[in-house]
Amino acid sequence: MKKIIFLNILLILILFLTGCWDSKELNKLGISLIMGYDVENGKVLLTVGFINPASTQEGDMEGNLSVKYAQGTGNTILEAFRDITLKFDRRVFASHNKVIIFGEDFAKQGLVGHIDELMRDREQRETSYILIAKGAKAYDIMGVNPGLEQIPANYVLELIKNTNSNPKAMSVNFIEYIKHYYHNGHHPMTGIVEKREKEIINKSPDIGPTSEYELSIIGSAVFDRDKLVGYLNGNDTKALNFFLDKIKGGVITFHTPVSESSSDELSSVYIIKNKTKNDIEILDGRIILKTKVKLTSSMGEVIGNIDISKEENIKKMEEACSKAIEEALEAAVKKVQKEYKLDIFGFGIVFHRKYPSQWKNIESNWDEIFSEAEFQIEVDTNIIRTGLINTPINRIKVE
Amino acid sequence: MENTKINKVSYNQVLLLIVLYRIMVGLTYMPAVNTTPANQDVWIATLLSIFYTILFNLPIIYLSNKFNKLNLLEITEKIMGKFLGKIIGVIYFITFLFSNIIFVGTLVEILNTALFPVTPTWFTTLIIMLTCAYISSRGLRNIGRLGEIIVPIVIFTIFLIIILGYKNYNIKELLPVFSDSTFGQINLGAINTSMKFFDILVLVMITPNLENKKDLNRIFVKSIVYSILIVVGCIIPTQMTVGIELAKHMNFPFLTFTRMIQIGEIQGFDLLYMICWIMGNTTKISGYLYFTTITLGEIANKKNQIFIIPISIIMFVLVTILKDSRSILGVPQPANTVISVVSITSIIVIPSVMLIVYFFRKKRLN
Amino acid sequence: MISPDINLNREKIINAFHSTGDLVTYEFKTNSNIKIMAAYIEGFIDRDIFDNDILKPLILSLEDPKDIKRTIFISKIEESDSMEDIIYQLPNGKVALFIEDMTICYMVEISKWEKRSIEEPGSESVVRGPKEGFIEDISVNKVLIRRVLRNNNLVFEDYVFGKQTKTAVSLVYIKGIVNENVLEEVKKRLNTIDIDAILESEYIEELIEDSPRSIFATIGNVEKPDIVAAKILEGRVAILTDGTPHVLTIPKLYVEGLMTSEDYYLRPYYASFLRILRYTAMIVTVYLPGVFVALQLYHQEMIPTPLLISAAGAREGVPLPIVIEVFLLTLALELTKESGLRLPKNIGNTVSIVGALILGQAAVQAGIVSGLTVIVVSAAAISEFIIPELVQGIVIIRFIIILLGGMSGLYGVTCGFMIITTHMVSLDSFGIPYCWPIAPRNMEGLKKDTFIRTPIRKFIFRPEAIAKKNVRRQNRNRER
Repeated sequence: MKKIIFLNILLILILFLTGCWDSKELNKLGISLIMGYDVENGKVLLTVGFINPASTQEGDMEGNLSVKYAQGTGNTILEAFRDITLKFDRRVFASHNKVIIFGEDFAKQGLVGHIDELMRDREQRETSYILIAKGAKAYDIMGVNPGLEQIPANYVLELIKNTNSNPKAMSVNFIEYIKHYYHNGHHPMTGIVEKREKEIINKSPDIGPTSEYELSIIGSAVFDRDKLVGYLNGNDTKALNFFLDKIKGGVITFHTPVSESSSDELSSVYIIKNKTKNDIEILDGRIILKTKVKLTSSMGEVIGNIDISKEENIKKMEEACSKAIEEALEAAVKKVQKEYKLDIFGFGIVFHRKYPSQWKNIESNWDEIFSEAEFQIEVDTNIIRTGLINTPINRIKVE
Repeated sequence: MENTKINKVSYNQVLLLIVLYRIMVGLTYMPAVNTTPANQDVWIATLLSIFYTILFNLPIIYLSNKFNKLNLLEITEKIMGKFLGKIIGVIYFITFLFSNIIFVGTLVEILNTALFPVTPTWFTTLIIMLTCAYISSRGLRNIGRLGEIIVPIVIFTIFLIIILGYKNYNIKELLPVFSDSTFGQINLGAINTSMKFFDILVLVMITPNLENKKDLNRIFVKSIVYSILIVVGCIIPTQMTVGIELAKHMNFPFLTFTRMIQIGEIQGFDLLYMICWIMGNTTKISGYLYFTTITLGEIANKKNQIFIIPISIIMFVLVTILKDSRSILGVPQPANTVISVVSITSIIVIPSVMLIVYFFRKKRLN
Repeated sequence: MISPDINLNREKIINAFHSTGDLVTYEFKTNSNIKIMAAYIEGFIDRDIFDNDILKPLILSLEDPKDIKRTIFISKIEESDSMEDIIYQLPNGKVALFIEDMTICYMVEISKWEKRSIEEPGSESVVRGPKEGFIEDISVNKVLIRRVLRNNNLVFEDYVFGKQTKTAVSLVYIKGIVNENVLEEVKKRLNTIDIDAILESEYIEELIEDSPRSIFATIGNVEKPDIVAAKILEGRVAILTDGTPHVLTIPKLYVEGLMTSEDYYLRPYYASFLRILRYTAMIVTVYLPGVFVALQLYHQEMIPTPLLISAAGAREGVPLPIVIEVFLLTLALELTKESGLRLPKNIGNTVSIVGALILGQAAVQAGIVSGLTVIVVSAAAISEFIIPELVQGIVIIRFIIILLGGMSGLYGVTCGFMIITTHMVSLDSFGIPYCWPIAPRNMEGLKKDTFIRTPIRKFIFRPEAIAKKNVRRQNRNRER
């Protein structure tokens, strides 16, 4: 009898407690997919893009309408978050946040010192991608959506995912960024995002001026530890990705090795697989950075008078391609050594691994050593497929 | 005596239970990433700790082998005499109670951090204490059987998570091997790890209930080796994914590791981990609760069943007070020091003393 | 004490039966002028046999009252000299023959009453395999079992329980295979039964089971002779009860609820697939609604983003909290199920369709419940029907899990799982662990016949926990 009474009390307790404390009904949540952080007047300005779930039901398909934005200011990030609660009706739910955009000003004052909250809060996902708004405020970027995705955040996210097929941009998520922050031999990098004017192609009169901007994530941001110091352009970013062994696809364009004239005819291959190995050697006190790139590719386009069905011509093509990569990589290293004097390639980590005892001595001034160091780049290209045709179509095939 | 007759447990059950008890600590807050070398070499230290653990626990295992029909407290009473035995019994009771409070406290802390930030502490504690009080009231036989279901699930889930996380692995994080730390540091870390093998007490308490007493040594060695292998299997992926330095900043490194896993649109594998972790912890806490009551019953010469509810209530109150005053994991001192002192006393010092006394009184005892 | 006076006897019987209307006492004289009285219960005997094989020879050729066994052509005639015994026997379909001047009464067994014919039981229908099921008559059921096991070691031990109903109960086992400990325990517990009525085998089940307050039944019940045969061949004991086609089998293991007889009549691969499907269904049906509530209320980060957005869209404008919504919908489902079951078959179908389709559709369209909830609850319901044996436990646990999920998310669900699992492993069925071979583990059982069903060639031993002697099923001479 006692047991039954006890159980009943427990059951009633359960019923009363249901819906207490941490439970959040789905229709009380503001699901955010994108967030932007800016600094304005010395305060953090937080912009959050919320999805309006009601608009996803019942055929309401009018693009941007399904997203609403809210802004909050505060001395710290958390304060800014709480500021939103008094301006926006639903609780910010950040667990599904995919992209975090930092305004240029925010990044310049140093990221890691200010974003402790993003690691400490259980709702924030460490897998969110980080982008720096180049020359702009984060909220300038956030509303732009010229793509087919309904939600602007998904548009940005898809752009980031597309770096797999074009390595001119970087996809760096939160944890990667912070991981690199701790090692003295590797300055962290992040991707950037830029707003650009867009030509309106569709001239039909009923299209409003909604999509006159587009976003571009070409390039990357250079950090000195956590402070933004500059940007790399697309080609240098591609080279950087080669160094970081992050190439998963993409295209290499090079001068067609035609014997008679070193013409400006260009051919290209697309990358199937790439493996980069960084190494360091100390030769009588001089430090040599060594990079070996092993590229597996397939013929993408051949322009020029060359019969690539011949073994020796394919060899030539491979060499030309290797040379193009070498040049690009060299240019990038030289530029970074000269302009930024920061090891963004992670050679410091390689040094640490190879010469752990000496690393401790030079750890603090590694960047200087890096910017003086010599380097050797070795590229080995292997073209394993030629596509549907062999010799270029402009050439009559002679056996 | 009656207890040992009903509550027979098999080799398999005890092995699984001890392995689970051991790996739960590693899974929870992964102390290894912060112990002495505290760099990419901690896995060497952890592996090395197998040796030290076996070494340090030899006295207690030797005694248990000698008196394999008696549990720890009965051995103490037999060797040290009635009065001293009772006092040592009280020490062991406090050890069990204390470690169990730490376990519940950690569980509640993680739950309130990672899942239920607004839920009051008492509610989270109440649920776990109700569950564990029920489980331990069913006796050792059923805890053993429960372990046979739960432990494979837990271990399988951990392996699944480790496999799913492969995309984030960066093997280079673990390099250079054995150069940033000295041999001394690694040994220090290994010793540090091996000192905290509370679960040997559980094994020694179970001994009289074993179906086949000869399995004791097999279980002892195997459980240490298996559990360390699993813990290392968790440390390495965590460090590879999160990074050496960042892992040290984390209160729950393995949880962070699981949070990183993402397959297509599916994220939130941390929840899968949390589930299996709660299962494991419930099994562990109820086991410890059971042995707390057994020790108390031994001291008071009563059946252990009557103590389960009072002890649960005491634990509930203590954990609530403790958790409402300070974070255990975020601010590890003074809890860490107390754990070290308690474990060294109960696992190494007292058994060694007992062993010496035993050798002196050998003839009279036999 | 039977008096030589027929009229006295007749009065005694009529008084004993309180002048009941269906008691027939028929007095006649043979050609040789012997006065005989027959007493029987109307409708309980075969009138043809009575007229042709009893009355006719008696009247025509009985010379000496003691020659009665030589005169009538019936194989089962007992002599009785106790009135109590006669009164006890009459409701079993016997005819009592009182002969003038004799203090002995002849009891002739020619019982016959209307029985249901042998058909396929509704709850255990199969595509392949024997289709016949037990009926309400115990003697027919015995024959059905004996027909499968034509074996001199098959033993029926008869009991009678129920002070009012006098129900015949029979213990079935195979001598030499049966687990003697279980048999002893069953007999011991059967002998403690003291009740006025046994109307169904559930009465016996609840009177002798180990944990009468448990949500799980620790005694199995089956409706088909081939399954009973298979079970007693594994060393179990079965209990037949007169008046019900449900036969109890002891001991019961949890995994039996997830097996069907057809598993052994189909190809092993397909049978194993079905097994795994059933285990999955069991988890889905118990935990899916609770986990769904937990995910929606507490762990939204676990839901893939596109699904979360559409789920959030579906929740827009739904007035009820999700726990109440799922709870009520599950309750409505149980209502539909129960009403469909109790009504005549053709109306029952209509009720199910109206309930499930029209009501559900209307509720979703009116925005009272969200479409996702309907999908989840009906998925749980469909999974439930695949494991009919465990339904009684499942339904209740499901409600508890929903509440736990609403109370504290997956933490509560996990704790509920732990408590239920602990409860299950702590159960015993007549000394055999209920969760064998999962806990305590038995590799032989796990590998061959738990989650998968290996080819019959591999079943060399009977289950280790149940069968203790004569454990070998087949000799391994054809092993490959």
